[in-house]
Amino acid sequence: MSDAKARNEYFRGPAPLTEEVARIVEPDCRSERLLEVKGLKKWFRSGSNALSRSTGHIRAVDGVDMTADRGETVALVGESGCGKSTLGRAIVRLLAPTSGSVWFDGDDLAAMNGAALQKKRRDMQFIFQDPFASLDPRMTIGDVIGEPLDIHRAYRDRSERASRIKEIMETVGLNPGYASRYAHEFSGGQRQRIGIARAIALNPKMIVCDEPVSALDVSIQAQIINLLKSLQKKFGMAYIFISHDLNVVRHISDRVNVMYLGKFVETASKRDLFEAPSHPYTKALLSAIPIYDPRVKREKILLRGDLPSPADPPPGCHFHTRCPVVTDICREVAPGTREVARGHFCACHRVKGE
Amino acid sequence: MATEGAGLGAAGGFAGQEDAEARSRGFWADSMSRLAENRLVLAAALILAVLVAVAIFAPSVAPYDPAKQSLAESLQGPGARHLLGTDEMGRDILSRIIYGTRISLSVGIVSQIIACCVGVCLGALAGFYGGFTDTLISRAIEIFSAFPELLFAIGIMFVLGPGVINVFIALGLLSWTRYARLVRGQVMQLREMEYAQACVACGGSNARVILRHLLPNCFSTIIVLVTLGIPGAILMEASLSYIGLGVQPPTASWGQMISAAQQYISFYPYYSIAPGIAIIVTVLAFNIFGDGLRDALDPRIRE
Amino acid sequence: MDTLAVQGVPSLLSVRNLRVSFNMKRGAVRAVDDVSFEVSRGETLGIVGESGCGKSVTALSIMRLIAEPGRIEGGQIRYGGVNLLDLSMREMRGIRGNKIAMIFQEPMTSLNPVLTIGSQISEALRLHEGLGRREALDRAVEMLSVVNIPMPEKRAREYPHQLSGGMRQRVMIAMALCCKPDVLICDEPTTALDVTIQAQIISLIEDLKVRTGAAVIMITHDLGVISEIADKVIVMYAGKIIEEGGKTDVLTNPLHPYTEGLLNAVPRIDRDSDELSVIPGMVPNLAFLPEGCRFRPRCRYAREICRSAPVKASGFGGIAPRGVSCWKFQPAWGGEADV
Repeated sequence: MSDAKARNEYFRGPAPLTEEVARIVEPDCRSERLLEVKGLKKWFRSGSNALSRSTGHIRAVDGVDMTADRGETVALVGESGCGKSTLGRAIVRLLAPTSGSVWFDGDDLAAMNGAALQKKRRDMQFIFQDPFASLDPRMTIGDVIGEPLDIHRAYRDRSERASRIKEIMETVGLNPGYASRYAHEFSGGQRQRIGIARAIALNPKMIVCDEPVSALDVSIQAQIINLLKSLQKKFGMAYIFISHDLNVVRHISDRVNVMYLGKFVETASKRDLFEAPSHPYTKALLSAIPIYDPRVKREKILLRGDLPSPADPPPGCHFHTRCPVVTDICREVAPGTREVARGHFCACHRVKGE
Repeated sequence: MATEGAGLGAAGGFAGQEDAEARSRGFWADSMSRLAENRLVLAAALILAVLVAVAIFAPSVAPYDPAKQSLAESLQGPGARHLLGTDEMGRDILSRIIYGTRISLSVGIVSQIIACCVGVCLGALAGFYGGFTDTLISRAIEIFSAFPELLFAIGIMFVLGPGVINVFIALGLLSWTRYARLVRGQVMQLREMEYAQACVACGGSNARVILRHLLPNCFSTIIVLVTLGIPGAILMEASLSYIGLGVQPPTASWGQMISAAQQYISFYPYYSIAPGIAIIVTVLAFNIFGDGLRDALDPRIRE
Repeated sequence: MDTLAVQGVPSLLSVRNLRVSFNMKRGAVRAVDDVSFEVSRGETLGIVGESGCGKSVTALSIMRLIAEPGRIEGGQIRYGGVNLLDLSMREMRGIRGNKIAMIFQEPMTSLNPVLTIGSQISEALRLHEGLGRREALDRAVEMLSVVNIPMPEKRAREYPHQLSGGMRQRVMIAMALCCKPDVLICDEPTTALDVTIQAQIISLIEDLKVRTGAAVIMITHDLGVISEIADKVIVMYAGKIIEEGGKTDVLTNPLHPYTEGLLNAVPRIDRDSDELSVIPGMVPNLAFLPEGCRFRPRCRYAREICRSAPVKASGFGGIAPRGVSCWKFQPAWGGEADV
């Protein structure tokens, strides 16, 4: 415990000398940084299959560094199987990381357990992709939204609980009169609003959104995205926004991490990433998105083949099997991450740093 | 239009007010109305209600004291005085069957409640925690279900000695594995559901996840299993009493009555037929009701 | 430019006044209401709409795959001089998969998990073309290479679960194309796939269309996919066609308020915006349709006149015939005040 505390102080910087100093320095001292993930790995054992005798690991997340500031929206983008969902779950400790650290608001979540972790969860929430599976069919939505309040005893009496639930429901655009109804009576978009209501109930500092709109119809997607944006404006929480849809990501995020086979291949501000992508995978990803205006013609980079299995990732650069500009070195040596422009990181042998 | 009013659905009514016609009935109301649609199930439920009422009000329903002997009237056929006749001690068979309802129903229900409590707890622990806990409990389930049921029950009764309470315990020990196995599987599956994950993500404790989310969602399966387990327990009690290990005389029990009746079966069949029919009707009613309940609660049929 | 070749060519498949309803507990619900369109050889028709708009039911009706409680109430589906709705089930089986083929959104559930890929493809060939086992298998392998599956001989011996999602969809396309159908119906073929795989599949379908000259009906909710592949588009809402026309016309100059709203509601990579414009509310339940125009409760232009059903207005120029079902394009709209 004292070890954790020491690390904690290290993270926050040198401890202030006196309380008085602390009070004066506090606002500056308190970093804008909310989340700092270092060398995070999450491997799953894959030896359970009797047919393949190998007892290898699926390297779903294989050494990821990322940061998020307060009130910022950081996107994790990639194709299915790239590990973005696993990363999101490992950050909020729905999965225990294999190694690495997750510094969140002064504590290393990866080293926390039990009651301390449960208490910490007040500040970080999760929005699930499937609005049908994420709501308990036996609970009224008032109870669903009230559950985080119950867990953290965030009210004095029943009437305060009820009024708080009412308030949250109004905030997310749900009719408070529906509090006693069950989830199956709502449409997908409304269910996702309920999931969002549950996530904001405790006024968290960070919400991990796992593909929150990909199960919804186009016209409903826009409603939910606008809702998420307006909630952020109002409450100032940070979003870790997991999505495969670059259109959505471009709309909502401040910074983007592009993930491929368990690793980040490119990290940049939204502007840099969409206007000057440097990694060949990012370029291919961007070019593959259908453009709505049929008059715009552009060159498409068609990637060959499929995503390799994370149980048996290719040697060297993971992307070399599909890369259009592959060279010999890519097949042997895994590229390091370089800063190609200020705040713009890329892991590719073919991209020159500045 | 692109204002936040529209975005939050505040303008022009909250999102989804248009589906006001959507059924706002809860899960149970919905299931019960489906249950009521099936005539046969309804009839079974009616029979069960009558049985329960008879058991509760046995003293006022029964025409005679079931233990009152009158050797002068022994082994009489059905008649005006004794609707179903009398047994070898001259006791009124109808009264004894009515009192036997108490034993049969209580054995069925209590033993299943015991089995259910043990089985659900152990099954939930095994399913939720997995690993060593699961291995331990799973082995116990396998060992308990490896014995033939009747032999197992006889063995326990030998150890515990005869008596109603011991029948409860023996039959409870006999059937907990069914609950444990089922709940373990369900909990394992439900644990991965996102709503259970959501509770963890909110900071909910394991106990909360199990008690508030996992078990309530197993509830319909458990209740069906109880309903279907009761007739088995009733039959088992009859078997135990038949071989003299169950309920002891003079307490009236259907199985014990059949046992006593068998020596008179060739010249006085009413004696064994009446309790036999009572058992068949009760068991059938429970089975039909249980099947109906399962269909009504099955989430795959819903929507 | 994209449909010039089509002008004057008689249509290959034409659907006229199709009506499909489903018998629900609380009465019949009409999932497809008076839908008409046609496709010609070498042409791609896009059908767009959100879930529940009737686009998939339309596709299944063409294949006569509507099962209980659904029922095709009326209309015609003309192909090769006959109305498919008049054919017996036996005659229909000769058409299905042979002349008109379909691929589905989820390739995993459309493939039999216990049969090899090769035997599933060859099954159709043996059924429709009477090929022998060996011959059919050879053709199956050939088809796999046509859809750019590497190592087709090896893949033909594998089972569906051994393939990735994109690979399975290629197999579905190979199965659909093995009898050289005249019409290929694609029901959300790329929805379950990643963008890079989606791009591969779209270019494959495009390529095969050019090579075989088949007509393609592409059903999707994604206007981007439409923009990539379609020649002409119909937009469906709550069971009705609300707008139709050439791809470029519809996507760059939408007439119906719903199409306009849909195009504005999607976040777009080619456009920066702070807030998305939103179509308020949601798609109506088909059992409780609003009177008049079905989009009226969500429409920002709605007026009193919209309480009666709109008639189709046509003749807006453009490459393909243009039509829109909205009162805005009727003379009656003129002087009336806003509601």
